[in-house]
Amino acid sequence: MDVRSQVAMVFHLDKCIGCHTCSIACKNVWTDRRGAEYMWWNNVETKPGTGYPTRWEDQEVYKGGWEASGNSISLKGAGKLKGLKNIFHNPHLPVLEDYYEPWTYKYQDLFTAPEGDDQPTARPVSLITGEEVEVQSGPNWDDDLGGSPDYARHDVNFKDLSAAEQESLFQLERMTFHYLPRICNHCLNPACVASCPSAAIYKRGEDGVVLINQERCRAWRMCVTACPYKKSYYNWNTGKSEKCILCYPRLESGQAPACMHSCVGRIRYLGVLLYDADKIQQVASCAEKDLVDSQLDIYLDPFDEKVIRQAEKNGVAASTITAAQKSPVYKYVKEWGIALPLHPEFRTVPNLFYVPPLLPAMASVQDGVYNESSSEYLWGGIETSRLPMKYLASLFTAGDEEKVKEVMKKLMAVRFHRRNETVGDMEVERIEKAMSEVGMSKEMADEIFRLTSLATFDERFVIPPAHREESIEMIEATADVKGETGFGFKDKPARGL
Amino acid sequence: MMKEIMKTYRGRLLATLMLLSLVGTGLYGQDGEAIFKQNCAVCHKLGGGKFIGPDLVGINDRRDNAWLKSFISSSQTLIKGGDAEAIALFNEFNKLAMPDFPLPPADIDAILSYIGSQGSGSGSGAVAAAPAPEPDFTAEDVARGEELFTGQYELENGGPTCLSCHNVSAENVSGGGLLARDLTQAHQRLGGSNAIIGIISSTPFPAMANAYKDKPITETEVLQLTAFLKNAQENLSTEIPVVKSTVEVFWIGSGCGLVALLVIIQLLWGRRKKKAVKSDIFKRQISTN
Repeated sequence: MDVRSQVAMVFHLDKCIGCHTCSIACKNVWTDRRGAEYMWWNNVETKPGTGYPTRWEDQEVYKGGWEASGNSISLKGAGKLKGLKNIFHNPHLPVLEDYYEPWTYKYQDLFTAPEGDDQPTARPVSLITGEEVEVQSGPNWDDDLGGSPDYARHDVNFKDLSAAEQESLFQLERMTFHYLPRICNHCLNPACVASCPSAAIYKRGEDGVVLINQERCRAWRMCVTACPYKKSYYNWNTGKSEKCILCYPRLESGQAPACMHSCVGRIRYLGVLLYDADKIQQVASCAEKDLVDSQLDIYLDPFDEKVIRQAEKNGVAASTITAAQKSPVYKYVKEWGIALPLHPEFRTVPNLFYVPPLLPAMASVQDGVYNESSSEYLWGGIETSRLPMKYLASLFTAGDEEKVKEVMKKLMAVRFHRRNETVGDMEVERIEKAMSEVGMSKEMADEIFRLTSLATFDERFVIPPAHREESIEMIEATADVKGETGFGFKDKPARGL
Repeated sequence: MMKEIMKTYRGRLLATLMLLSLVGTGLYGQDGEAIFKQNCAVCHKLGGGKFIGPDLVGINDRRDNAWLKSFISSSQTLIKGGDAEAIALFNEFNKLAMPDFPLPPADIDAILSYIGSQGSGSGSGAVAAAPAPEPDFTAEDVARGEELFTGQYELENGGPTCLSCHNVSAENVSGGGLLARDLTQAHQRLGGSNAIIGIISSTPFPAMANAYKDKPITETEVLQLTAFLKNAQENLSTEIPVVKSTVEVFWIGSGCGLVALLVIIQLLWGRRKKKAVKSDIFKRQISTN
């Protein structure tokens, strides 16, 4: 057992209001630089929708992630032979059109335009060329099902839905959508790390954050192809690729990442998970139907004495183990089992989990009376959910509907329980049946409710102390520079020393 | 007048002197025989049938005098000008154009009258000399000829190597020049060793004549080279298959190579992402400009 710690996340989709505050917070902190304008380390997508970059989930187009090969797995779009074959041009890359051409407006024209019959306008100009552009697309062009014929109707997750099922999703009375905020998954089996020919990408030992060393990056862009979530972006100005850094400078000083800190719906949770690194290959290579279960198996119980001993032996700090015990992510993912990874079939073992959205059931009109639900209750059975389970299964369980249903039933049980507590208008047997079906106690339901709705900042973000002193000692012998000025300089200052 | 001169001993002496002076200094001469031998005999016989060019016995009777004069001055101008008889001749003799002879009219007259003095073509075979027998060549001659042709052995007077302008498809000759004609089948084309000897020793081709003007090929060398060319011709018919012209090989090869390359490219890279995912969406959009 090789116990390591991973900073993992849970996004509660029922709480997301699609305000993009997270995206803006991230952009303002990290990607408002030249060459990074089009990068959205954090973005919020509407589902059904094609996301950003368009159709990123379609690995037949982008060749991201891993594919099973014999008893193990291999990269779908990168690797030694494939890399050699395409050494002069990395194919399957998203091009700028697949993202969008970033633009701004000539605001100054509003003030300097000469007097005339028309209102002055601020024309859009490209942030890349500086020339006037016709805005054709943006990072969330399909927001709230905008442009459905072009975007939402080409959602990759429709692949298992029949034409009739797809069509019904776009009927005015049945239409539904939810949001899907995405950041880097800081995977346990990152394809980007595996694909980098320069070994510039690495996974930090202490918290599992995946980073690109800007000094080693040689612009191969293999990571852009390899990442199935398309969360590695190429900076055309610096000639280096960049990606979400999980705001590690903030984490190290005990603050939540900017996107999470700013989240209006408070949908985001962050905490430590302990996992067994020996099992990564086995988990990533297992059969598609076992992917979710075996991934959940890799995370260890932080209260287990054996795990704690092994973790200590492995150099995991005691404070990190304590953080793992308080981790909200552990509760959602392991204890309650109501959070699922996004697209586990990419086999990167992602560490960002989603509580699926419990969307309203189908409304109906009977005898001239409008019912908010086709069943007698507002929250009917999940079978009557507007969004087909198949669709959610395609997103979160590699197509396993039963697994999604189980999670949805748990969420539904919590709702029944809370409705009973606060309104008390439901039949007791119905509630008990819903609870016992998924093995949920009243205490657990209350706990889920509490962490979902009332959690404080410190409950949502349990950030392990950074222990920078230990990290530095791992790479530099600090005693060597004892008595000298500070700890020396990595790069000498420009004025010279 | 010419005939009178020719009949006298002094006249002949004078003609010989004039010929010598013509060779040495390029002065004009009036001795038809000398001029004929100098300029025409390499390709034309007087009696004895076709050689490189037609037999000229009785040419004065067969052709119009003015036509003959213009043909001698510049046969190529006539051919280009579309003269039917000139073209027929050109085609008959392997499309080997007769070089232009910008001789003064008096010299041409002298030649024609000399030809006239050699009898008429219609049957007077008395004048016709028996064709010279094919010389015998030894294997050494052939080997030495090859060495001379390829430049492994320098020509005695330092003339340029044949290979620099000519190609021969033979076993030990690789990649000869393409400036002048391929000589692989010269023996057959020109009609025997004697013709080759004639052409090499006193070439009618201006470029070649110029190249060897001050560096003549010796008689032995001429024989050896002829031996080599004869041998090349013989080997060609028996051993070496006829190689397609280089230009043909180039185009066919390029075509096949291109197709093979495209197939490989298709196999290696055919499945790559060819266009932006959104290009279809953009095509549908209505432009605001």
